Amino acid sequence: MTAGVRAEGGSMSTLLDAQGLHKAYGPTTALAGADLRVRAGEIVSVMGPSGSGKSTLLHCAAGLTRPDAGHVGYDGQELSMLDDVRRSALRRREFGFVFQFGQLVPELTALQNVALPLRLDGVSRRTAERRATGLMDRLGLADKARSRPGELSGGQQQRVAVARALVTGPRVIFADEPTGALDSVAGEQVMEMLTTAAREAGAAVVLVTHDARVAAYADRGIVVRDGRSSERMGVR
Amino acid sequence: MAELALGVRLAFPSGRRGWLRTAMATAGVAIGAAALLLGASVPVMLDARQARMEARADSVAGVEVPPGETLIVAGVESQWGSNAVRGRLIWPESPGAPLPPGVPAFPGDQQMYASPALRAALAGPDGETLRRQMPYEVIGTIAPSGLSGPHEYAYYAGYKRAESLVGSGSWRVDRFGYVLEGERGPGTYVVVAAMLATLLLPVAIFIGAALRFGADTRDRRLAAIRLVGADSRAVLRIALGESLVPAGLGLAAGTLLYLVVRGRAADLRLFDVSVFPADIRPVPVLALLVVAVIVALSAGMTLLGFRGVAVEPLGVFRRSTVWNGRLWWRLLPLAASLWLLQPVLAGAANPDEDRAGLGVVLLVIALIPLVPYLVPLVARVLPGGSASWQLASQQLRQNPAASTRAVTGIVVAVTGAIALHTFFGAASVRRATPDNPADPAYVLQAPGRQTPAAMRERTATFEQVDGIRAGTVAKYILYGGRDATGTGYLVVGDCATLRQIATFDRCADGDAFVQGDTGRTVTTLDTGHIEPTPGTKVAVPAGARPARFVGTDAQGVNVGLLLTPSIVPASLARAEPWFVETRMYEGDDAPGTAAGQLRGLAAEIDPLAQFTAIAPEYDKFASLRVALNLGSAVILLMMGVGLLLDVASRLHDRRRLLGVLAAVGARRSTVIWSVLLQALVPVLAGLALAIGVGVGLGAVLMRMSQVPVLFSASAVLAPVAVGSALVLATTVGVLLPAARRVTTTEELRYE
Ligand SMILES: Nc1ncnc2c1ncn2[C@@H]1O[C@H](COP(=O)(O)OP(=O)(O)O)[C@@H](O)[C@H]1O
Ligand SMILES: [Mg+2]
Repeated sequence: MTAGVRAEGGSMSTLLDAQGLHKAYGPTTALAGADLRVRAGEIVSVMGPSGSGKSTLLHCAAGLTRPDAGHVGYDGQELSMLDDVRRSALRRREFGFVFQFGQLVPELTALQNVALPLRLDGVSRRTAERRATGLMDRLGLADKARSRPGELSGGQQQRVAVARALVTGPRVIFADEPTGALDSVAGEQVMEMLTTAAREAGAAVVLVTHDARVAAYADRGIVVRDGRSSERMGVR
Repeated sequence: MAELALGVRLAFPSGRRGWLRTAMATAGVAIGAAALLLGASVPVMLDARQARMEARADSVAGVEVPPGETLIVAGVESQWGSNAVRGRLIWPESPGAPLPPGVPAFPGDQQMYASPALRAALAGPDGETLRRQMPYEVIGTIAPSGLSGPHEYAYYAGYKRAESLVGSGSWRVDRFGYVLEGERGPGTYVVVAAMLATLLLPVAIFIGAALRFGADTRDRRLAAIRLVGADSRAVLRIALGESLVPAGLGLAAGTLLYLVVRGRAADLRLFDVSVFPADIRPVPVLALLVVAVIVALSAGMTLLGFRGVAVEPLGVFRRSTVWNGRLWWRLLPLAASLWLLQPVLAGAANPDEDRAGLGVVLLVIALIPLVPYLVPLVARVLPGGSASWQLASQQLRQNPAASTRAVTGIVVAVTGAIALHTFFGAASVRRATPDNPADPAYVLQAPGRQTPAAMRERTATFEQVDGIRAGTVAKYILYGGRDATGTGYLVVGDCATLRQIATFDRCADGDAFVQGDTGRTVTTLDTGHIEPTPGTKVAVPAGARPARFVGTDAQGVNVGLLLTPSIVPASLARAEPWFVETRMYEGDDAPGTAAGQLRGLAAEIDPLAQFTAIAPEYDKFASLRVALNLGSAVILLMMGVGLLLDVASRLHDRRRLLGVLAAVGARRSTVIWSVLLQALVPVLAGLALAIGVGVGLGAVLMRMSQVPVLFSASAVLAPVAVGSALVLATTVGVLLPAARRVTTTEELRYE
């Protein structure tokens, strides 16, 4: 398990490096020695059957769940050594998240949702909303700024989530089945926007999916099976 | 700061549940805030009332004011229905005499200034009867500065004859405004504090229920915010900000409610006390304290809600708290209250009222930790039989705190209601009849000498009123030496009237009766002097037969002499009696207006005669009972809504489990019954506790105020019935349909 598949990969430094992750939920073993390495700006797909531990791997890599064993290094820091305040700051500034559903705050408008990470980081409302508006325009959400999540279609909600994930200029976006609740047309649209915007911003993407068509958007991929990961050859 | 603002922003909800939650919490805070503000106004209210009374005080007790720039005053204290009437007959001795507050000028002879309430009553139904008590021409209205409250019945009448009565009915004042002896002790504050505490308790429980309702949506929201990078303290600040909205809205609404109540204050009366709206102002420091308490309370309840809760980016996790079923600390408040109440329970003669009051409040509060203990106990004790009860009892034992939260409020409210209802029920029963059945209902004591014929005429005057039987006697006090004020009475009256005062074998005119060892002669007391002065010496007739005084007249009588008119010696007939007393007995057929008519007749005989109602003419506690019923209704209603919210949100939390149960083939009726039992058993157990403690509390209150301990079924059962009705309505109306919905597999598919 060395080197990337893509030729230009060699010049890139490893940004996120998770190794030997173990995680058990009571009697259930979710991860049994999984690895995940992400270099700056690349899109990595994580595939595998349902229940194989993909989400758990993503949660551990993003510092949302503490693994029972193993290391997660991000930009030279060991995530498990960081306290809640620093990990939260990482989520705010360096990471972005797009989940299957439920990550938008129903009480806030689309614009407020997108601006939320900036607001939490102490950016003034004016600035935050200006940046959020710019991003939403590019994602085709210009006329949805004042709508609440409940008034948007599934595809629109996911685009709002994408905008929010990108708004702070993160270096890694963690996407867990971002199209899982969408039909294929809307799904493709969301994937198109997510990958294009991430590439423009130079953000890496960890893309968890069980759908090969979605995985095709990635530069390279890994497969998780029974809590173990392996490189997946022949992507693109 | 930004997080607080975000929280505030988030608290403006979307969705029906969110609105309901905010509206309920706001309503709860509003009621609490209004109550607290009213409580904070009580000291000002009492001070203002005291100041009003002192400003017009004219009692110069013990001091003799020499004539000069003085006003002659005679007091006429009377009653009209449930209203005390304060009358003053005045006559200035010089143009520089002091004017009573609120009166623009001295009224001429037989003219009066009347309070607005009195003027309204004079113009109202039965006004003619009332008029006989004050047959003066109304020439103006007393201004608020001269009244204790907007509903006070008061008048100042010009009465030239008062000049000739100085020393025997009227007195001189050189000013108005004497300091009255402190009417208000610290006890008032204790009572107000206790009332507020008992009121705030259900309010806090209600707010808690409202906040818990829809807590699951809040959890999801907070987790989502955590995901995008809020740390755990930031999330807490956001939650605090959220809680500020109901607090702020509630404070605003509560202030509004307070102002409305204050505006209507002029219409409210309690214990014949009315308050000018202008006198209802919160003490500024206390008002600030109210704001602080409300904010702190809602923040505190929010923080309390996060105890044992971890808001993580992937969701909210509740550390399952181990249920502490140990009993001893739950009994501490009960033990403390029983200790405080111990003197009362032991029947001490003069129990410390503040201590006992604290004990009473503590007894109510002691219920709160007991209810969650009682419920699993009941769940364990009740025999397990049906599957539904097994399911329910398991839930009850596992998480009694959750199942009893809302019930606790109902228990406390019902307990208080039972206690107060039994107490005031018994108190009003007692006060409706004279203490001693031998006593008349009313007594008129008029100065001056009367011939036997005039006394008979006076009796006949009062017997004109339907259902009234009367009798008139002349009463003298017996002189008992330099140091004693009196040892007994000498009473002159006809046989029929003497029988009301004493027992003896038989009686005809010319008879005399004696009680105790009088010797050969007795001497009357000359009541015209401050020092005990002997009056007329009267020989005890040789044929006097023994008698015993009865009723209140028997108190303090060592010796007594009763004479029929024709045996009265001429010397006594010329002497001035202590007073001439007309005793009036009220039959069952007497009209409700009898007291008013009698007072009118008495005033026509002599406005300064002392008319006393031995039994009050009205139910003193009626207004308080109305207030009480209103208060318990509001509290019970809040509790009912709180219970509803609580049950609904618990059902919401457990819909997955119930759905699974239904899906794996549990009969729907089994599942629904288990839900119902879970809601009903705590309520029934709680109501049983409420009856027990409420009755006990009622007994304590009765003992404390020396009211004979007496229970009426209605006083106990009415609050219970209302409480049960509420619970039933909640369960049947809301829980049942909800349980039906949850147990259909439709819901499961969504999960
Ligand atoms: N919070 C959790 N509690 C208990 N078991 C869990 C939890 N999260 C995941 N699991 C279990 O761990 C295994 C891996 O889950 P997950 O990582 O979600 O798989 P995937 O995303 O590949 O479907 C599954 O068997 C799942 O049931
Ligand atoms: Mg998954």
